Amino acid sequence: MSQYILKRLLLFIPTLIAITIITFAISHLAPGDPTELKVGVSNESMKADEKSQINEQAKQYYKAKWGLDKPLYMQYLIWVGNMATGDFGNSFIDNRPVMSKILERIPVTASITFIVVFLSYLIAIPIGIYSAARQYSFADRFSTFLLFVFYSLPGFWVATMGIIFLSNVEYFKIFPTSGLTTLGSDNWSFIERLWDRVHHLILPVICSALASFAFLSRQMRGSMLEVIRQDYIRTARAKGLTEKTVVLKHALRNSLIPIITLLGGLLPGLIGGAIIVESIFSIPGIGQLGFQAIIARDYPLIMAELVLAAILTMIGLLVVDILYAVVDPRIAFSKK
Amino acid sequence: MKSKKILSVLLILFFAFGIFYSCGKKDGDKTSDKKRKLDDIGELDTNGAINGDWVIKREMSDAEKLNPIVTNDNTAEGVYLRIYEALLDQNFITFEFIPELASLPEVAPDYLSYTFKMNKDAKFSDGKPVTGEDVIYTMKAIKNPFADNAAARNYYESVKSVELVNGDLGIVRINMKEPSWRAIINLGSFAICPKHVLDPENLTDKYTWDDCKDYKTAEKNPAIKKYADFLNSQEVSREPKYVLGSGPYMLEKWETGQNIILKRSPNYWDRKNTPNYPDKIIFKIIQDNSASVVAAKNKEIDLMVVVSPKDFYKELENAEQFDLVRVTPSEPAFSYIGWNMKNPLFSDKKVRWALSHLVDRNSIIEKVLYGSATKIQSPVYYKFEKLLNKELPEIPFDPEKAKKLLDEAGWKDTDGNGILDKMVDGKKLEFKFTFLIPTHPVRKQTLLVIADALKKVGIQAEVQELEWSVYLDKTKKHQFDATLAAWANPTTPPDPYQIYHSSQMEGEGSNYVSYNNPESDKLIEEYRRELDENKRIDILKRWQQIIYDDQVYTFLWNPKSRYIYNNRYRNTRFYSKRNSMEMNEWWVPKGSQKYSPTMN
Repeated sequence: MSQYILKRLLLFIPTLIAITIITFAISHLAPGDPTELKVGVSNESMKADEKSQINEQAKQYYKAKWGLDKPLYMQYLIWVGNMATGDFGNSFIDNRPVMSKILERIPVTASITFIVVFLSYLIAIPIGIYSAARQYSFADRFSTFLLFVFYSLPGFWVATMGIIFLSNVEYFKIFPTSGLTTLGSDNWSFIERLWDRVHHLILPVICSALASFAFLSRQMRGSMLEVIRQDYIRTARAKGLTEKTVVLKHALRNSLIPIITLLGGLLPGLIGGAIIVESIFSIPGIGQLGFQAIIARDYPLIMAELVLAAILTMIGLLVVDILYAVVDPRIAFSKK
Repeated sequence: MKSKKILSVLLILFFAFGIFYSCGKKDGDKTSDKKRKLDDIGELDTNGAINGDWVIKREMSDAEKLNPIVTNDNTAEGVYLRIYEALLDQNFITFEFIPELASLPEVAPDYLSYTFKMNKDAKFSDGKPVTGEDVIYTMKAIKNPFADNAAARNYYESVKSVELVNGDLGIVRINMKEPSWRAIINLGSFAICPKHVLDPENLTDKYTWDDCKDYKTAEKNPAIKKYADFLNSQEVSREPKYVLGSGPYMLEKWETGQNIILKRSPNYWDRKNTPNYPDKIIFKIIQDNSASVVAAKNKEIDLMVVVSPKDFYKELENAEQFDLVRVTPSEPAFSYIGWNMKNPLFSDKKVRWALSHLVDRNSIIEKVLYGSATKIQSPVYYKFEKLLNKELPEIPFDPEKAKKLLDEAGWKDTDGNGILDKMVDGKKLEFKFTFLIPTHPVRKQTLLVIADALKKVGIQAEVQELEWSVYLDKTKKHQFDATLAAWANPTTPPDPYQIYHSSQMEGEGSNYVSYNNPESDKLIEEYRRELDENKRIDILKRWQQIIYDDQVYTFLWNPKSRYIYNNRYRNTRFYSKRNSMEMNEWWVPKGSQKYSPTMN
């Protein structure tokens, strides 16, 4: 087992290299020039009547400073070299170290993602089991319909509707519209602050969880249905076990296997979804940061976020594979 | 089967309820006509003004940095203008300069030096006086080529040096490289930063003005780089300890991506002229436009710009219901359609006139902009009555005239396919082109209306939206046919050089449409040189006539800004300038104050 994990960890390296090469090339080859930001023409409302050759000089200076005047492969090698020593560079926009910008925002996104994954599984599994066990019942049809609706609703739309109807004095004022905390909450008690934070997170969490939860419970239903048709289940029923025992004890464990694998695929999707949800709810997380970085062509920040997402995804996949062995003794990674 | 029926009934009910509910909301009560006229500046209303309460303003994006020397974004400007002050201020009703940290300057007859007398009472918020040293320091920091402020440095390129007169800390002279009547605009407007806070080691004294000439020279003196590294560091732009000026407010806290909180500077020196009534001014970042409208209705924010005209005129039609007041001040800017004259379609003046006749400005303003724009014919801000050439008649929507002009220019539909064509250089050219714009719903709608009118005379136009940096890249490289864009007008006499002079077609210039008329060039050059104000105005007016005759742009309108604010505030004046209001002047009567000083 440990040998397998080591092997997988070593495989991370070539995978990461491939990913970074592709993303580096795409981000740098996309049209748009980050040096424009520095000379102020990125903003239409600037006073256009006051520019001069300083712009040209300054652009050259920033190009050289950021290494953008070198051929692309050289830029990549320099970037890899720095990254290997843990230096992701400074943001083009505000000159802050990229890592400190990301680190200050990670807790927010990580906590939302964790809650979303946890809740999705918590709700999806029972619903999946129930609708598989009562296939074609009204409850099954209803949940199927509803879940498909959830699954097909675009996240940004749900989020906007959530704000317009659920945090609006005109309709229902249940949740705050945006942000993470209430202004002036600094000297509230810990419990009040905690509740304030939870209150702010409910809508964003629901919006990010909706699609993944719908997807998961459909998967759960499918895999449960498959297992329930197996011979050993029939045997269990023939033994006279109650339906409850059959489903929850004999069928459940086996039907969980494919669901666990989905975790690996869920993580990158959630990080992608964070861009939308965080932008709409003005939550200062890494999704929002990444979006701003892309708009501004802030290459160091874009690359750092992508590397982070890539590593997270790879770890996610590895964890999934290990979990496989845990839930299914038939799967063993080391050769006997 | 039965369950399916129930489902569909449920579904129908669900949607029907939704529609019904949202319709019901629309017919709110039509209340008082006693509304404030939407577009006046507002009366001065300071009788009985008292301190207290907060103003929470929505910002669409966070500031990047708050140190004015190295900052170049809009949000930051709105914030630091409350914290810092410049040598001069401007009266945005008369557009005249008025003294702030210094008196109006004494200008040398050759326009090569400007002498400012510092106000002896002026103090930074830490109690230290503002002196000539601080002015010298600030300019030296701006001139430092390694400082992250290339955009700002442009404005001060013509500054040669700044010095104390006879060593007097109270009198400072700014020397110019070349005579320029426009220099006062920039010299009066840079935010003065405290030297004792930002340069305690006196590093800026270790380099000279000449050292800052260019990057090569600057590299020879290590102090320049060393100081720039300090100035560019994140602490200097973010921490209240360093973000400190002489203005009415000081930075209390900056929660990245959420709020920037300013508190009243307790010992502000110039409260008589610049009141600071609110205890706090808070800039709250809400990225999403619909979310921010909801936040305003919920009274979570007190003041915001409403981005979408539809939200402003429909969604917020009953703003009073939410204790909100709507205003539409004119902020100096103009929208135009630029025709790329390098394209053979648009090189002919007659064609451009025809196209201008095909823009139905009245109906677009009414339908797309809900009436919130003022038609213009000239690039000079229309409120600048002294400088504006008022002889330029409005160009009416007139398809017949347009057809005639196109016909005269040789555009005819010879092959009967419904699209005009013309032989150009032995090849048949059809009148087809694309409007290139950054993603912008209002501009897109506007262009679709125009494209429809063009189609009726046999011109096929399409609209392509691009992400902002890509759009910028394309326009700079002149890779577009036509575009709908906007320029900000300065609130000071304009300099048309950058946008309209033929030398600015290449490189960093903004003559994206490649306008080249020697007569216009000559007038622009004369205008920049002329030191006599009356003659200068005369030149500017003649120049406007040429620009109009050539239809360099199809000048569209000065769009109005759309603000909403909570009705508990008094003295809410909206001036004709960017970042239209001065929140520090706003105040709230005792009984209506919402946030008390005990709330942190």
